[in-house]
Amino acid sequence: MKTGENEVKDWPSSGISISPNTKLQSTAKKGSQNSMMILRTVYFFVCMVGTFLIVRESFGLDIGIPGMVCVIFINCLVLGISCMGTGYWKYGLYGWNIILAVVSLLYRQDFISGFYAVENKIRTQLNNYYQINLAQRRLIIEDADGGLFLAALFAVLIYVLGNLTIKKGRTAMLTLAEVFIFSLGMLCGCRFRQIGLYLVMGGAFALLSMGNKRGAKSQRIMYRLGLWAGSMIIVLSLLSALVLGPMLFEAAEKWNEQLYQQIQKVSHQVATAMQSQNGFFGDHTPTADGSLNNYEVDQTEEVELRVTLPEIPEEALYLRGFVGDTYEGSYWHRIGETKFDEAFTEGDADYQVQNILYRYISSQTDAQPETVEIERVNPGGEYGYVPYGFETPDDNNLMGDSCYTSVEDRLEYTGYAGWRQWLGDGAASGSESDIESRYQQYVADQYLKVPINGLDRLKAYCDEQNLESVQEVVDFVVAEVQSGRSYSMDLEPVPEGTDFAEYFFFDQKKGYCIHYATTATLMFRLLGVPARYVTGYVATRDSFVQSEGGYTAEVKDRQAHAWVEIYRSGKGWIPLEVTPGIQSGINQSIPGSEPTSEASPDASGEQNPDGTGETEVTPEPQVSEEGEPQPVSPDGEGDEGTIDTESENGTAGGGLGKAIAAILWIILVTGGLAAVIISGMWLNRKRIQGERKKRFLQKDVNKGVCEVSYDLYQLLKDAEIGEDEAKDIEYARRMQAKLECLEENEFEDFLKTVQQAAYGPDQLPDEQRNQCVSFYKRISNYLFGKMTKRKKFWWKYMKGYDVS
Amino acid sequence: MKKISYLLIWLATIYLGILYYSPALMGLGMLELLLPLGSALLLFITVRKSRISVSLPIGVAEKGQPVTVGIEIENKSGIPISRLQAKLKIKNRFYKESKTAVVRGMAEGRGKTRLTTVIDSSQCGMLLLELEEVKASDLFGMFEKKIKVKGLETLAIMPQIYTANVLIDENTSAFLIESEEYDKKKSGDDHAEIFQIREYRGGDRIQSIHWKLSARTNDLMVKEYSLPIGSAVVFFLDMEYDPDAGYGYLDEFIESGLAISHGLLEAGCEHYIVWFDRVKQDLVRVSVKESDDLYLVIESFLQAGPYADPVMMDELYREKYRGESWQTQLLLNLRKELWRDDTLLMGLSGNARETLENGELII
Repeated sequence: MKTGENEVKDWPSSGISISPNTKLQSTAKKGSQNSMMILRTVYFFVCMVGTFLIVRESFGLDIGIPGMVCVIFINCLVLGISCMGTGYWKYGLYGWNIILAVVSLLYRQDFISGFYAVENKIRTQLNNYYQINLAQRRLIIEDADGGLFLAALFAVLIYVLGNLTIKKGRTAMLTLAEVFIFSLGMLCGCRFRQIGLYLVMGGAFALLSMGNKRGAKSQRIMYRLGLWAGSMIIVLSLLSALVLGPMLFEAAEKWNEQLYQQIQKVSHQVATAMQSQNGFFGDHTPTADGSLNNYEVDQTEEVELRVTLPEIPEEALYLRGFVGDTYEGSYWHRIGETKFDEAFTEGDADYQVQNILYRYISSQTDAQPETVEIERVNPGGEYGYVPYGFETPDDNNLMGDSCYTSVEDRLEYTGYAGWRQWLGDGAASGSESDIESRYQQYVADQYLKVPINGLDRLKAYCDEQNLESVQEVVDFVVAEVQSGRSYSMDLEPVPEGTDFAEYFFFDQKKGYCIHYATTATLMFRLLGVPARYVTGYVATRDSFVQSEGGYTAEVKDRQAHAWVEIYRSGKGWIPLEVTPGIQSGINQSIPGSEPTSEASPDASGEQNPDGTGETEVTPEPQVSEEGEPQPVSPDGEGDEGTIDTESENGTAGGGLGKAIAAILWIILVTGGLAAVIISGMWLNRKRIQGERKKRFLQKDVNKGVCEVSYDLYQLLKDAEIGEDEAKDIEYARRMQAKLECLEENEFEDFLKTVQQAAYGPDQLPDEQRNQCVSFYKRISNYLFGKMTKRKKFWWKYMKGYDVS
Repeated sequence: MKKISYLLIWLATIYLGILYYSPALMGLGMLELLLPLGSALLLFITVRKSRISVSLPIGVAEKGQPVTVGIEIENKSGIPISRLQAKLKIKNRFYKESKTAVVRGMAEGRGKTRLTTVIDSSQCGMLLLELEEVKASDLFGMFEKKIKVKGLETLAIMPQIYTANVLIDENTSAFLIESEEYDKKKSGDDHAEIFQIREYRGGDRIQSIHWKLSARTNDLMVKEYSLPIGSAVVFFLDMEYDPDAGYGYLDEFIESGLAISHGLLEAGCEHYIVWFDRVKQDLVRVSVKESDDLYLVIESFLQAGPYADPVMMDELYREKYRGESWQTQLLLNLRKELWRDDTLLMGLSGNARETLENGELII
């Protein structure tokens, strides 16, 4: 082989360049873009109707279907026309939205009432599912059904999603929105109806098939794809709904039972762990609801309520909040309305039952009732905090026989602050209503329950007692919970496997109001006296000071309290103070305090141990006509009043719902954080690009060209092909060799332009600057194309370089 | 990832359906199961009824000229293909590197669809376009099916032809070709061989009259002499390369060779261009007498390719064309060295075109 001066260099590139774009040519007719848009609009409409049906059925909204479907149809039609139209038609959607906004503004009261109506439905759903107490909002217009509000909401949804879905063929946001709505429904314990689900699913899938994908597209092909997908979805939906679904439904029956039991077990464990004394999710404000734990209580001087009376009351005012019926070990279960509503179908049954005491007191005195004003500043729950002896209003906020809820800032009640003075031995004047009679039996059925497992020591302790009357039981319980047990907020955590009440009563022997009240309630029940656990606030007598409206007490956070209620026939639920030292001040630690006469509940004479007139007394099975008390115990003969609290309280969604709620909350928070981070990165990129553009396109063209060159050198260094040496022609040649996307001598020409801009006397024309910018972008794109995925991310989002 | 997400959604639906004993959710679960199955079945049917081939409307292009290449899908089923991705491997025979063009798009049902992209080559040579892989997706983009394809097309990228400034010296121009081979189609001036005897035509030289034959036939007959086959210049194009170093300046080599050949023609010097075809394992020789012959050279030459083993072209030539003579032997190699006989005439470093067009090449 002949050799000479010229040595062979490295393998040269083949010199082939390929365009990144693909074009599509079809032998078929071109097809109309409008056909595709129309089909997309139809599928989108179907999806939105399905969404409405799901929302409507799930939350029990009383909104007419045809009307709402028409609204959705008009919205979709306008959207479709604006997507397809040109000229002024494009703005049709804006015009329609302006009309909707104006209508909402003109009928804003309907709009707001509708919002509240929908919110109330959701609150009811949450109350039923989670056994919580969320109050109902007062509607400005009584019979508002939420139609206008929902129409506006769907208009916004259609506007936001429709543009992306119909015009741009992107279905990701629509899918996310549907999943979000479905998840919200699941969180609220909704049960989904068939038709809505199928419409949403079918519409979304059909839109997915017509979505814009990478590569060359054809309107006609997308239209045909949509038709095929729609046909297949319709056929398979009918097959699934009418044939396969019912078959699977029947077959699933036995799986349902097994699975349900498994889930119950797990959800109970999860719920217990979440709400336990030592659990991570344990509530730290037990006097705000029924949670029970030994955490350190953080009591503040923050004003929660303001109570105003015309005169200073003779004794402390007990303001009722949460009422618990079933003891779960780590919390008291809120009294649900469902059982009460099933037992009492009369429309005003809850009003009658909750006002038994008020009616009794009214019948015992000629005194004029006074008005108490409660200002809810920052209370621990959505309760009305109705004081005992005052009338509970008759409205939607009555929660069965338990409590009154409210979200209002100011509430007024009428009644008797000094009701105790009229709480005599006699029966109420006037005959007892049928509801009241039935309610006595209801009380005996519901409020004697204790858990089957976990209270062995307490049960054994109570079983040893031989008490004959209610008064004896009251005296015994109050004495026992206080004797040898001191008031303290400095507590040890409850050991694993030990019951909260038993640990207080037998082991730790110190606690505060929730311990006393819980243990006393359980002991009352074990000894056959129906009792309930209540939390709320106590406004002491000495906290009232003269004010404009009379006498006002500022009820502070540290005045949150727990006590017991016991039922007395004809008189209703009477509060019983079992925490030592409360009368003499709130939450004072009194080690080893003996029960005082003030602390002893005034129950004497109300339960007649001889049995005469016993029908008026609480229907405790232990008080027979012979006066032989028969304490009701969960394991004894009278155990018909007690049932297994585990199955009683295991509603389909209660514990599981909370577990799912927690998991979904974590997912939402994580997703939210991810969204924030991604948004931050995107914004940062936009900021960098904006600044770069400003520098490149500044008024002084020469400076702009110099900025381009500085950025370019940095860009090349970031891509690890740049150099720190002097930027001369040789440098340009080296870069030229490395950057295959450049034309011959292009880098050299660029360098000469930069030198002209930096040192030349004349201003360069805009065109040259634009060429430099274009040169910069081409190099950026070229280098981007050669990078690994990870580096691409850094290039695009950290460095903010332009890529196409 | 899509399949896993979908599977999780399906499992969650069935699970919730069982847990809440909901006929709606169970029916939905069945629908979620059937949809991808139905979609996969449609994909299977579509793929079976589709034929895919490489689409290349032209066979020849110039350097830097954009050429539309792609695939053509003939789909006999009525179901369109929602997403198709094809990889087209493009390789210049003269180079090691190959590139892959990816075309993506949709395909019509009951019709033909072409998905194309644009390529261009800055190097001349024969581009081979091979269809490597085609994948089709179902309606919802959940499944992909690979389609077996075979397709190969070639695209010739023509070199740029310019003219080197060639000067023929007296020896070369005066060289009388001595050859034992004669052209069978054309007559010449070599008295050693008679090409043909024909009737006299006006303008024929008296000295060419065949008197004996004319006397016999009573018509004037003239002798036409033969044209010896041969050229004064034989131009070797040597594509031997060093495997470690690479092909070198292949593009410039081809264009320089053609430029020199064109320059020889312009200088009135007919010549042979000779190269070694590694496929045939033999020398290929093309006689260049006019400009059009250069295209014949290009057409044949682009089929050849570089070779690593050294080839003694001059010896092989002498062996093959024994009896022929020539005045000058030129050789151009991949390092852009131009040799005349055994002497390095010039190294075409830097810009070869500039050197050849503006310089003087004396043959």
